[in-house]
Amino acid sequence: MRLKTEIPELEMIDKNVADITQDLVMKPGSVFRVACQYLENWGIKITAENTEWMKERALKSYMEEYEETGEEINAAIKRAIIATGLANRSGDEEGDTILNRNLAGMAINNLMALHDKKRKFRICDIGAGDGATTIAILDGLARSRELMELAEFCEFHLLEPSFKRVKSAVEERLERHPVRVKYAIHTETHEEFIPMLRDGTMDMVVSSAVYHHMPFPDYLVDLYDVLSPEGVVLIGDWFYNIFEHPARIIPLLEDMGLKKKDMDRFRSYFQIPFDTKDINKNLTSEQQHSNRKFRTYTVALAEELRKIGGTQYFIEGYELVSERMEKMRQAGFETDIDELREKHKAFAKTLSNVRKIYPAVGEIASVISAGKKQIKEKKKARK
Amino acid sequence: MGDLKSSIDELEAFDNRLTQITKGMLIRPGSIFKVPSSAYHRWGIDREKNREWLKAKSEEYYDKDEHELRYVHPAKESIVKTPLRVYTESAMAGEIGWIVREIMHSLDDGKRKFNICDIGARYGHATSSVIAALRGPDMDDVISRSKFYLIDRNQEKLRHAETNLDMHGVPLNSRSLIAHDDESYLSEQHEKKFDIIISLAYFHNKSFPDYIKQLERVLVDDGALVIGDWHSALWDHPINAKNFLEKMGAGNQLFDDNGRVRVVLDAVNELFGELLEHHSVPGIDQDELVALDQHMKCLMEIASNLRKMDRNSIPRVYFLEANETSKARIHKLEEAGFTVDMDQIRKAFPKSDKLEGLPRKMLRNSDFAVVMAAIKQKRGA
Repeated sequence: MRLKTEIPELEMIDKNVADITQDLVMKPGSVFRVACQYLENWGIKITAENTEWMKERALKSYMEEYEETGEEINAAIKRAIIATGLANRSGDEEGDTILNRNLAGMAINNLMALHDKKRKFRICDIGAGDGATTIAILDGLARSRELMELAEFCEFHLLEPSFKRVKSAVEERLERHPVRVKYAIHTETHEEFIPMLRDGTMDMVVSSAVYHHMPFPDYLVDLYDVLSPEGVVLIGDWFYNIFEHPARIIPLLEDMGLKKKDMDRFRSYFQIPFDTKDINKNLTSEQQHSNRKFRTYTVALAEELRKIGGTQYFIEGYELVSERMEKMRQAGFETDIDELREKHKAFAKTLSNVRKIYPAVGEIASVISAGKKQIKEKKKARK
Repeated sequence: MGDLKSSIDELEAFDNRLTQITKGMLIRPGSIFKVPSSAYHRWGIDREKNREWLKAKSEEYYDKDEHELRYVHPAKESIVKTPLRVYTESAMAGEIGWIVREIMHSLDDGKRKFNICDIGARYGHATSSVIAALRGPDMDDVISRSKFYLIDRNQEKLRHAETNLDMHGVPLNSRSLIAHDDESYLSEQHEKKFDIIISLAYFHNKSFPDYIKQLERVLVDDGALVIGDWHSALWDHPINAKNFLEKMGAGNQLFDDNGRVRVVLDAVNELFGELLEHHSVPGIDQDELVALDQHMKCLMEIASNLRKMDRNSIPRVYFLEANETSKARIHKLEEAGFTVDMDQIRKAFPKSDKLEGLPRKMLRNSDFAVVMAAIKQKRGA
């Protein structure tokens, strides 16, 4: 298949996909929301000329979805999550909460390793949503006198572009929390906020269930820039590779009730052969399991949305933990635990810097922590 | 002081009358028998005569509630989940998980098989939190030696709990989901069976404290009870219920089926009559006052969620429950042979140096959400 590079061609891809799936309750959204390394499988080639356009396109699609989302849709999402036994939106009980709790545990261990009763810590929660990640850290800090003391040395910066959600986070949660800490709320988008802190002043950057909205890894470069030399980054996220190839979402489209005629159009548009049984061949059974889990959830959500007449987009920038870690290395982070333990005081006692939240079903929800490589190496990597 | 109502006829009439006069309200009191039995006398109810009948009634109405709101409309459960409740409940679950982890860490000798019982398990929230807390390089094998018992009346909810346990990788033979009334299940257990008993946001659905004695009986001597619950003195006195009804607009005129005007509040005043004057409202401290306010706000929020709904699909929500202050709960635990004393807990689990500051208030300066750990007063005796 000839890869498409020109912007008008790229525009046509989204139009065609939208046309093929027009009967579905839940729409795919823009194809450019898939993680950038998968785009080639979708018939798209990234060039210097079209990268910016793609980023904008993905952002626009996320904004459209955000506009759609209201209380009713959130309730539908919650119901679908409960029905699937899976959560992937912030603020729910099971998935994200446990993800945050694990992230918090890892973060506190890192901080304790650095804590010397003098040093102050600046902690940045990027994409804070309703503040759940920061709260999880505070919950952890409430647990002993020693940790309460550590809390006095912490200063939190919560970054969330949608002010309404942050405001409720402040009022509802931080103010009621038994651990009182200094905090500041930033309502800039991270593109606006990062330049303000580019001097690398954050001792810790946490990001939970945010990254899968970023198809391109620029975000990591930003995280790198705000982080102090011996700082720690913690990324908690959901990991699937269902969007690695368009053929892999065929069972999903089938379950959502895409008509045969439209399915044939989808296949021929992305040149997917009829025999796709080999498509999962290179996946481990765990990876297949988590992809199935995603499918079950999406179908359940589509059903809920049909009831209330709302819509959401299902394509997102999910990828594998190994791919995320590779991107982190490219951005200048050290992800090897032995290296980290040796070179970073914060990791001196850390056994593992990757934590799977549901080990039985694979890496579906995981937290990755990392530190910086040498500054010199970083410049090389960024070029 | 007026006489306490003791005959079944009197009690039933009183309860029915309240239901009748509050008809048409967005949130209604529901059965009076659902308030904590320790407050019965303030509601004019004689607790001792017909005790069994009262207890059965209270349980029956809690069951009915479950059906009205959740069983019939599982999707509508989100109405009663106000943000403060959701956040705080998961914070409590996290805390329970963490405490249990510390306790198990201290009890573990590398071989011990743990039986962990989750009373009122619902979606398995507390249990999954325990499992998540145990995950990690040092405690992973404890999970394979443990058995998790989830007890809830509602089969539907246990099915969701099952999915949760699947996600957490709990093997089938390490779990037991029991769709049964907890008290009768516990009464069938004839030995000290459980190493740890956990419960999240459930015991405020128990008017009578008998369950605590059962818990004490089935808990092993060196085990622990770890509970998180909503604590408030709101239903300790009918005057609070009256005030709450007033806030909900009971002072306004309503038209009944025959087109006659009625004012709910007038009828409530008449029904409660001297109850409102005879017993003083029990004194409460600052944190309990905050809890009272938060409890009230939660209910108001539920009411405003209901107000937004389509008139015909509004589920019935009843507000009276058996919430009590954490002090009152601790008192009951002590009466049943438990202690929540931090020094003793620390002594009981010497291998954990991290157990501190329990019972823990999950909201700043408030008694509303509290997680507590309790151990037997006579350990090993």
